[in-house]
Amino acid sequence: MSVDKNTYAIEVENVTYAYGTNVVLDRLTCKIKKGSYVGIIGPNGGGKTTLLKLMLGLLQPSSGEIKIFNQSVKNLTDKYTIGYVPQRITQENLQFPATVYEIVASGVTPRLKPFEQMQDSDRKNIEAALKIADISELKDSLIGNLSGGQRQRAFVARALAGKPRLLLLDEPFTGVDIASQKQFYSLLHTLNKEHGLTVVFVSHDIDIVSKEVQELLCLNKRLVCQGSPDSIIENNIIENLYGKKVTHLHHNGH
Amino acid sequence: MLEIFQYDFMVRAFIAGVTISILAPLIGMFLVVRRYSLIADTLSHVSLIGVALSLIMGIHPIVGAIVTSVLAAIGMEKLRESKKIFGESVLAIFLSGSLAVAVILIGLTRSSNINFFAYLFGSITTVSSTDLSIIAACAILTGIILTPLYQQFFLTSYDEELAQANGLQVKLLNTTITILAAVVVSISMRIVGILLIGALMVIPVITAMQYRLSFTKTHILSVIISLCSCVIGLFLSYYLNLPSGGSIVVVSLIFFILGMFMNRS
Repeated sequence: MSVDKNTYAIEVENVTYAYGTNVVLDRLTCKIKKGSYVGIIGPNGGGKTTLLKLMLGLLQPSSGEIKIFNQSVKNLTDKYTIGYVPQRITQENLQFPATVYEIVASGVTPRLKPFEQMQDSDRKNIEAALKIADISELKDSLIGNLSGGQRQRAFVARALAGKPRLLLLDEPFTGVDIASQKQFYSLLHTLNKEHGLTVVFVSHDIDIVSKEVQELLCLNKRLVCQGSPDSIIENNIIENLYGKKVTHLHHNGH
Repeated sequence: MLEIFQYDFMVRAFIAGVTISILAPLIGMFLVVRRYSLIADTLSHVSLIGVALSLIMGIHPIVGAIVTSVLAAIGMEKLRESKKIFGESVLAIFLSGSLAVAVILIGLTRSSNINFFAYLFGSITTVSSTDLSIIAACAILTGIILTPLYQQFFLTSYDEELAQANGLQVKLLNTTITILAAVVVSISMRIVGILLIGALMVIPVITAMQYRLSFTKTHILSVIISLCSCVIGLFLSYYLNLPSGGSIVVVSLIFFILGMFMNRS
């Protein structure tokens, strides 16, 4: 059966990446369909975050190629089509004098050409993004004063303000309490289902991730498996990958 | 009180001072939030090489200072990007190394040390019409570069990785802001002095940050604090016969201490 080349949001083709002599990704090939909701899991050092950085063009593969919406990342001119929510919230970021609105508005910046100023439509996008992420009432707060969960929602809003087609998140639940995690998953689910956004995130918390996503991509330097959480659990792949049993796993049908 | 403006040198000093006190925190803000405050001090030491070379070669000292500090700014950014040396170590190498070279060059000029004292600590009597023209040209150039790139500088200062992931030219933006810092440092030497310009780029910004405002409001407040420090400092310098650079920076320090008391909670 032939597959339309426009079916995929991300195509990773035979990608190898090494830090010096330490090979982190070894001839990895995988594809992620448009509109899917994918969790990338795997043990520490398995190459999850490296893969995300390669997708963002922050790292260049030693060999192979990554395509985003059928365009090589290396030559991707409109990088703002990828919304990125970073893991790292450093002390420096917390002390940075900026309001939630300013951070969210910075999501529009990459779309602007030199000397181009923000338009009313951009401001409407920012307001809409704040509303979707349910942080409109926090827009005048300093970013450093927010809780972990609120801050992550602010960064999702920031990504949305740039009107992305793909949302990449790196360990988005680090330092976020359980209640906020549920709220955050609900937001990602809404973005995927109601806004048609392809959502891909990296997480080490396999138990929770497996309950939420449509598709799991298990990574340990190479692609160990890719499929629905139920099919992967049934085959004991995760147990072999992590050396642990996954409990309470039940895909909720999102 | 306004009789000081009957003297041309004071009018020139005020025009130069006001211009510099606006530019210094405008650029300084991007250095402070990136934890790169000491670069201003480093660049000012490098600019001393330019001053000494200018006196040997017979060119305008501010032009010499701009050329050497801009070249050093590019070199520092390249070294920092290479990640072979820690960022702060790069600053230490350039700061002490350039001072050593400057001291040797100053020895070679056989000029009176009084001239250098004015460059080091600032003097209201030394601002010439040519200086004013150079300062005005640099101020316009800074405005032309800073205005359209303001949002890009903001994002890069907040998170370089995020900016890079969004497709911004982070290396180019970092080099640009460092070059702008080099230019501001160089044009400030007449009024504030080489050894004190770093303070004017940093202290008003840190003072404004104590009020926990948005980025834009913090930026505006830092310019207001810097302007007030400059005007009060120049009056003090004239009436109490004090070095202008020291007076301006001490006033900005007083604003900083007041800010600390006001924001103790």
